[in-house]
Amino acid sequence: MHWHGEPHAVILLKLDFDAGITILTGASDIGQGSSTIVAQIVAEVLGVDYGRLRVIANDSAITPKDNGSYSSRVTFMVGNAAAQAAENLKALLVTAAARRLGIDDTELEWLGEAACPRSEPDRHVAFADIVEEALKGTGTITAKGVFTCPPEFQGGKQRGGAVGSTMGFSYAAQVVEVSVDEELGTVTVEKVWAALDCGFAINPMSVEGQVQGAVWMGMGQALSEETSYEANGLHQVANLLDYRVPTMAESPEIEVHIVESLDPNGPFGAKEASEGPLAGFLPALAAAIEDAVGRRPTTLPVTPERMYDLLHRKTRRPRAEPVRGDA
Amino acid sequence: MKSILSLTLNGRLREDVVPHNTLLLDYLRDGLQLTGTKRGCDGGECGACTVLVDGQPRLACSTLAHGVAGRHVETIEGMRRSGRLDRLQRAFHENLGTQCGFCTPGMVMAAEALLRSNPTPDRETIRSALAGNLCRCTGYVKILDAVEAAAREEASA
Amino acid sequence: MSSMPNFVLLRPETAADAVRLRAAHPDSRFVAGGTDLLPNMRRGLVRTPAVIELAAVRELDFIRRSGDELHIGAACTLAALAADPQVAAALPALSEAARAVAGPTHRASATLGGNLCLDTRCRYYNQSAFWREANQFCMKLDGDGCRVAPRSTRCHAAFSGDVAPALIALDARVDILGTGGVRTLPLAELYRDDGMAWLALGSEELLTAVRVPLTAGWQSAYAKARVRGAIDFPLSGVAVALRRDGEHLAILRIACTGVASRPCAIGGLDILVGRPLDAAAHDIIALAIKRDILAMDTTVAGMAYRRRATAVLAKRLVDRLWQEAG
Repeated sequence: MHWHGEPHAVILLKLDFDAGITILTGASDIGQGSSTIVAQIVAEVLGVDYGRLRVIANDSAITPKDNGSYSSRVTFMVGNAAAQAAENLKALLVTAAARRLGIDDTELEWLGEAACPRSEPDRHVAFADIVEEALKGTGTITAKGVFTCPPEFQGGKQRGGAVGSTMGFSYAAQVVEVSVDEELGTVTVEKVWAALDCGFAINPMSVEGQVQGAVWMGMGQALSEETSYEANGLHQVANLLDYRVPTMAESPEIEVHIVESLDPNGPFGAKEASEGPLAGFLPALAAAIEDAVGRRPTTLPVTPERMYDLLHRKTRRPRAEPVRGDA
Repeated sequence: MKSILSLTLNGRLREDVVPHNTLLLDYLRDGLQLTGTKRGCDGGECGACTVLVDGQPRLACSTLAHGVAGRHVETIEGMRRSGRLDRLQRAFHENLGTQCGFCTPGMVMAAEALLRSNPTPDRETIRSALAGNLCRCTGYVKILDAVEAAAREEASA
Repeated sequence: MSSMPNFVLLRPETAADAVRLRAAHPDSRFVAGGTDLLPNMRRGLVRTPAVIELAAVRELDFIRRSGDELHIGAACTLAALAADPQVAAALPALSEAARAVAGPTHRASATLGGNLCLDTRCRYYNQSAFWREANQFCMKLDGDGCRVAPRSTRCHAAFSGDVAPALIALDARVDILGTGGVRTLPLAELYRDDGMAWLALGSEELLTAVRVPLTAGWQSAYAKARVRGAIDFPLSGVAVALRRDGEHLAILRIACTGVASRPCAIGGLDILVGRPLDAAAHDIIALAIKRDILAMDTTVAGMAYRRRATAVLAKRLVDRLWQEAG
């Protein structure tokens, strides 16, 4: 991916006489919000109302190729491409607005839904008129934005180095509170607190949703989801009753704290969200169990059977004392 | 073997010739192209096929179409109010109770059944009422937020 | 699409008509809520030329007091049973067991009769046709040999309904309607310890009602061992009914599900009558349970856990009910 010479993300914008902007992206929104993110970024750069934007995603006849949803790359790479596309479109519109106002580009103040000369703040030209000016002679306008990871972020010659992985890395911390039924081995997750430095949170609600979903997915892996096979190769848990995806009944409240920073390379400083919270649940749970009963599981999922075996094997380390602030 | 199946669907009377062994889920999806109700599992394991029958929640994948003859069936397509999202749909949208959307029709219908019988449920009651509906995206937190928000909106209306 | 067998659907409006239709169609199946039969049909586990739909037989849907008994119709939904205040007050084990079944949407249509007659379950049986064929089927359907006990001459599929042990512990009887009339028998006698022939129900018979004695002074409860908090069948389910007289046990009944091919009443507890609930009594109870259950490798969760859970849940319920009665 990294070395075939194409940019790592491409966004196309189309502006037509209705003064509406179509964003064309190959990025797949399966509910994680990639279409929302590109729309937010374009709207932010251009300063226009959201109502002017429409997103067309995943139509390989029309949309530019996207490398795919993996390695938490989409917000970072596709977002950067979207920002560049919007800047490129804005440059064309600035020129058209300046021409309509009879001034030089450098004298123009861009207001989003309008523009004016910096020296005459009351003399506006509305967005629709700017568009009309821009379309003269050329008709429908398209703009493109691309993003390519700088070489120092592209990975080396090691196996897997060319996969095109993200260059945005978040930091996450997580606290899990559990209770353990020592006679049955049942582990109950009472509550989870997760903090994430995702860079700038372009859509905080979406970040929260991603973190909660990721934490919970980690919980499923850690407590009840397990793939196993018969000796003859048949899958033992080939249905949603035996492959135990947690229900709402045993799923805890998950409190999310977004701790922002600004990544110098990400779109508006954004990095990525949710890989840390997913991976973080498993060791946090193991640590919580150790805090509760003095034994740390090393095999997942921690089914009641495994927990019971862990509790009742012969050698037993002393239970960890709870930490007290006044000790 | 086929017979005429007569029932009320989303407020309108329907009469269709339907084989006896047709599941309600297949009658809706294949017979009527109402694909909002989802097939998510081998039967009774996920809740994605939840519809309402006479106001009660029902697993369409484990119900014969002829089993609800003469009854009032409601699907997610019927939730729309005068071309707009109803309060539950809007609450799911505004509170990010829906990500991929696959579980959402079942969740909304199960929540609708709850709110009809209990307009002011606490969070634990909502949790119990939706415990038979699986979601793989959200971790459930914002689904609970959404149902609470819809109930609050209705209570203050 | 689903692989439902081709059948004719019959819709009687009375229980008597239902039984007559069953007699006229020997290979037919009854369906009420459908939450057990229809998923099994979709997997190719049930082939039948005729299905008798019981939704229109309104006479089977009731909960009413009759003297010192509570009578419950077989078509009463589990949701209605779980929500009924009489049941919650007088027969908590029944209320708790009904509420423990599957998920809320299942319970809105699943019936008492259906849960009592639930098909037995095994991880080698409750699979798709493709899976079972790849595994050369099994004794319960289309094959020979038991996959959990290869030398066994009988099927070990586990009974997995939650309500039966509660009703057995509460000393319930059931009405069975046949072409010749109604017979009434203790619920425990409805079951046989055979994964393939677990119901002692004649081919033309229909379970119509349950009669539960309303006995003053009984405490009762039901506890279910399962991994998740909803949807799952019991890995083990224990019902306890107990009456305490001062410092002595007057009555102790324990019944289990999920740990045999039928819901089993634990025997040998009569010797505890008149004794205090002390450590020795608990040892007797634990031994009696160990002797009467037989958890086989029918679930993905292991046998040791299910045996252990049965003993732990029984002890907890007995202790709790003893305290509450004191």
